[in-house]
Amino acid sequence: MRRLRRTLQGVAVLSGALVTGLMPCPVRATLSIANPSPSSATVSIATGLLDGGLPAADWKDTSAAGTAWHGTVAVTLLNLTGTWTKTAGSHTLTVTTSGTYTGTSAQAYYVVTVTSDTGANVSASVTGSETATITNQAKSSPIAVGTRGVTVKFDTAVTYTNGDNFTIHAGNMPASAMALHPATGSITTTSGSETASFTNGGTTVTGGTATTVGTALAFVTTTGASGGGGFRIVPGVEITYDRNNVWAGAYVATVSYSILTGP
Amino acid sequence: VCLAGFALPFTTLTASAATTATSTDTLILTAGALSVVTVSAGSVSAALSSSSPVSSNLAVADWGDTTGSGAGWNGTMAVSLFNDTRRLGQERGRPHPHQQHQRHVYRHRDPGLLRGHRHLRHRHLGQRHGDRLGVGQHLANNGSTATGGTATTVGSGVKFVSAALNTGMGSFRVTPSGTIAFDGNLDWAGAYVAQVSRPCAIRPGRRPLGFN
Repeated sequence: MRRLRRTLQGVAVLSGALVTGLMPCPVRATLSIANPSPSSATVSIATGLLDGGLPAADWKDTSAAGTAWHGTVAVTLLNLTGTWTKTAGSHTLTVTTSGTYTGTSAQAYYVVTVTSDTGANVSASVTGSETATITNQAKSSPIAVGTRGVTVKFDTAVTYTNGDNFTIHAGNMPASAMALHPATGSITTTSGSETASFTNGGTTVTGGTATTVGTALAFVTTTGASGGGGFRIVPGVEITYDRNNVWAGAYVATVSYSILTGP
Repeated sequence: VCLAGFALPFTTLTASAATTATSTDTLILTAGALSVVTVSAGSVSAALSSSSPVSSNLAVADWGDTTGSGAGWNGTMAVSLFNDTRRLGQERGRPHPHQQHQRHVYRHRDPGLLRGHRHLRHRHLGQRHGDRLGVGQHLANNGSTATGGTATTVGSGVKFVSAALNTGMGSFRVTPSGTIAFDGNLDWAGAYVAQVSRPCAIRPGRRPLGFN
């Protein structure tokens, strides 16, 4: 404790010296992104595309150097992993969620039909986008349904019977579903005198996988100005999908932003 | 920050700022609807002296399912009688005695003058013309009779195409084909026209949503 007090006193002395006796020196450029707000839009399947915006965020350059900077965006695939619904039989699932679907189909589905249940273990057939067999697997943990991330969790307190049938819809939109669309974005200056503008309009923001973002793409650049600047930015995007090949539901993508020096 | 020529890293005196951020974007797709739109009418020509029945493609239509539900659907067809109005009041160059003053309504009142009312039979339902028919969608009831209603109203619908659960989303151009029976001894030469109605229904055997 005594050692800690001495250390704190030392800092206090140092701080006083900073205020009273130091000469000016260069300060490292400080770039930041803060307050990203999830974005959401609703459109009828029949429309086929949506022009809108990605999450708004606060982009800031607090340096005095006037260095130009740019922002990038990277996204996962737009993923739908629905919930299990009973489609036949008399028993239900308490946990209806699934592991994230990792396949490439925008309109996948899985049907699990129970064939037997010993109480602790269950057997079932899997049909739909994949064909598989669940053989005497423990109900205490989620069970893989096929090879693409989908899982089903049976209730341990329920003894399922032959013919109990559950269905889930899932899908990932193509990696090319999203493209920059500046017309539906916005840049609002919140501080400073820098100028920011969108770039790479029309370029595809290539999705990675269902769980990892793809390659980052620059979407905004600044000129840099003495004193820096701050902006609230909504990247505009156009999402195109095959209305013949999607489910009704919520397709969700993870969006990752980075702010980097240089125009 | 400089201290008599000694620089302290800026981040040691201030909270570090994030240069990356992560959030989510959600696209909610809401259900569209079932739809059927006629593309072109069906037509076939045959000599009265030819053998009956005659094969014919029926009216072509685009069938759509943008519900995104995977509930499946089915399409039915209902037809009116095949009717030839041009025969009314003008037969072999002379007016028909019963039609001289009731040219346009008489056919509804005197069944004996309803020429060419025939049942439409569709047999070649295995033939299809669709841009996306695949596993789970199929033509049904091959060989069934679509019984005509009256000259102006369609009869009962007969299912002729369906999509199973979790299939059939999208749009399909379907050309049903069938055979039309006639009697060369009783029919006039001319154009017999029937109305064809095609409701579209969610799930095979469930409620019809279209027109009828």
